[in-house]
Amino acid sequence: LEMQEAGEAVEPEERVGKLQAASKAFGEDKERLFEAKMVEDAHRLLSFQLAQERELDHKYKFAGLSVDQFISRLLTEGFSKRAEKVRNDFKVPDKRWWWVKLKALAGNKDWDGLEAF
Amino acid sequence: TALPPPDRGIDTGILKELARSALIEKLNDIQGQKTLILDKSLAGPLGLVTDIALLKNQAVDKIFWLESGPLNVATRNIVWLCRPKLSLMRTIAEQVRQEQARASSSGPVVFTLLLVPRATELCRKVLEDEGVAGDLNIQEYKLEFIPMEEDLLSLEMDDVARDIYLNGDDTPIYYSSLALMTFQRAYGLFPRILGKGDAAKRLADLMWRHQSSGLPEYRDFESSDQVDGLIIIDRSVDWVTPMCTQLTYDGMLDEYIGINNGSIEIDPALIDPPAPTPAPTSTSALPTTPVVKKRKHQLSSSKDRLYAEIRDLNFAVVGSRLSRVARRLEGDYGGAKNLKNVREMKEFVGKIGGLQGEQQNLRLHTGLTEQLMPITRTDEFNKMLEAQQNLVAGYDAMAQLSTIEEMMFQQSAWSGVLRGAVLMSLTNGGIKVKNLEAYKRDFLQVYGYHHLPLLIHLQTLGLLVKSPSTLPHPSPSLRKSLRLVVDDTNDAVPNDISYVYSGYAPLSVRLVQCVTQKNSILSAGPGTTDDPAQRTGKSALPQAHPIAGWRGFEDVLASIPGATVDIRQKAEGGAGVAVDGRDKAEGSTTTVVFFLGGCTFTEIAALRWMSKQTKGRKFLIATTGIINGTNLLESFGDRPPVALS
Repeated sequence: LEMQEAGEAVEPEERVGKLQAASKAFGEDKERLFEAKMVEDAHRLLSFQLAQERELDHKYKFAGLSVDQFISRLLTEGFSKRAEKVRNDFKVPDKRWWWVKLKALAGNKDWDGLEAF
Repeated sequence: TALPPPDRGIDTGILKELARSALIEKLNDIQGQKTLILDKSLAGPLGLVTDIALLKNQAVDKIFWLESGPLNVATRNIVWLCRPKLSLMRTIAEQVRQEQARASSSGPVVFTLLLVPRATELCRKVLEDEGVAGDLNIQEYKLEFIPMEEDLLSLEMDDVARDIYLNGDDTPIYYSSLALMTFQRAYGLFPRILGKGDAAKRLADLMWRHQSSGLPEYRDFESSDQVDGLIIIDRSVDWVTPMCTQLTYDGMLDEYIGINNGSIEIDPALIDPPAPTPAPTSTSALPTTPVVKKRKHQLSSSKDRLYAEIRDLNFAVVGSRLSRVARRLEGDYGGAKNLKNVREMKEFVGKIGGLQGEQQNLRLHTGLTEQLMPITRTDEFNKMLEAQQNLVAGYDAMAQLSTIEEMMFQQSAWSGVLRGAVLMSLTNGGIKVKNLEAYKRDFLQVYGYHHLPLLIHLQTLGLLVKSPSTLPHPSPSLRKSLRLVVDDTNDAVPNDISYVYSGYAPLSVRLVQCVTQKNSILSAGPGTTDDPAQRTGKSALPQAHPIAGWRGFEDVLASIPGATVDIRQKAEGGAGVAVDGRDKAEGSTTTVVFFLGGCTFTEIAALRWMSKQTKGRKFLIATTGIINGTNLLESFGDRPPVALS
């Protein structure tokens, strides 16, 4: 239910709060530990995205992107260090990481990068 | 009622007339000019039974969408036409209050609410709590089965599967029972009702309750002499079928372009010849992408014979069929050169109108086929198809899961990737915890965490679960006993219903065959299917055998979860015709197949194909709505999150 409310929240800060509540609610049910973890990740992702937006003086909009979309966006904008951080924080499997990177490089027509790859 | 010609099945036009006249009657009861406020979800279904001109004739001045916010109405009457949804009731209450507050110089406004198909107690209650029930004239408009085609009836209700199986809300079952009662009033009592699934059982029980309620409208039903039975297929009995990619023309159109209420949205150029494009006048650097407004086009087999011919074909052969028609048309036009005398010329000119219509249809379907063709050539499409076919055949499930994951990593459309995983879970009795959690984690990271409620709901429904699951898992035995996977399927000259998925026979339709075409399952050796006479269609078709219940398939039925239904209905006082063992050799009967929770175009195609295989039985397909795997999964999820500010 909190997930639904979170989806309806337009204000990013409000959504962060709802996600936190949802994670807690799932955490109380032993059968729902996986879900609790996932919502916690969702919460972590959104917070991190908002922090990144602030750090980059709100020149970019990251909030609401999925993990892969976020990484892809960071790579195409040339923030490979930050992308690496997302990769580590969210334990993105190598295979997936390479696919995202490949697509981002191709999208940027970064042929040198692709060759190095 | 007069008996329709034996080879055509029953005449469903009556139902359309019924729906149309009921609406006219309701609107006529309201005196004077009226403003109609319409629930958006009803627009499509209503369009199938009526049109704007008809409404204008009933003194409808203007039509607005039902949306929250103040109204701008100039008429004395305001009529809301909507589904009995609580959120809509609140909007209406708000609007009634606003209109009342607005000082009206031309006298009081009359408020009427038409609920479709029923006024529920809950709705009345909400309107009472809002304090407007007394000011509203609450009525019902019984829009039930809408004939989409002469052999296809639909209630055109949305999200039925979500209501029944996820929310435990049986309202759609109740509506279905009423619609089937109306059907019986028009065509007579079903001599026999068979069904599979718990919800199917609840539906049959409800029908029985109406029947024995003694209400005047349900009394004195005579046993039908046109219909020999009703087979209820509960969607929860067969989730596998909608998860597979549909391979018929109609199915492909629905999967990749979308068919809603029998209509498709297309580029207008496909209907009208494109106007010669004016040469670009400006040489601005910005590439101007012209916004082409899509046009709604109703697909109708009665208006478009070419469509009737190709809609149920496997897509693989649609192209060659179209080119054959194109060549014939060319030949027909070419005939103009060889006209010898005035009489021939007159004949030819008479034909031109028809030819032009045909040519227009050909352009439309060629255009649509050209849109679909590239999709079928992509790696993505073929890999997914292969994975699906391996899964239903029970071949190396783990390898298929990695294919599905690989497609996910490449950000293939989420619905396809999820359909694959659900198929994997269904055909293997769940997925190992480790793999399942890794899949779900990846899925959420690739497509967004807002899909989490959907994943939870799929678990609740038993569609995406960890193994070993507590659910019975009959896949391997069913595959064998019902011949769900057929190796020698012939897409071009179908010899079995499995042609609709190029090798997989929908379980739902196999169940119908258990009742009506036992031989097609039991003696499906190469001897029968390769009979050359049958292939060329020269031999007489075998006579359909009478319905003998589930006999011979009791074990199979028991292995599928859900209740089994078998009821004989007799008309009261023995006034009915004895139908069991019908012996009228020339007689033809219709069997109604009702899909509770929706059916796919492939299932429709399979049943139509079955209608052609025997003499003496036509199938009439009835459903709560037409679905595909993607919109089914979407309906199980929450609404996508709103954009952040």
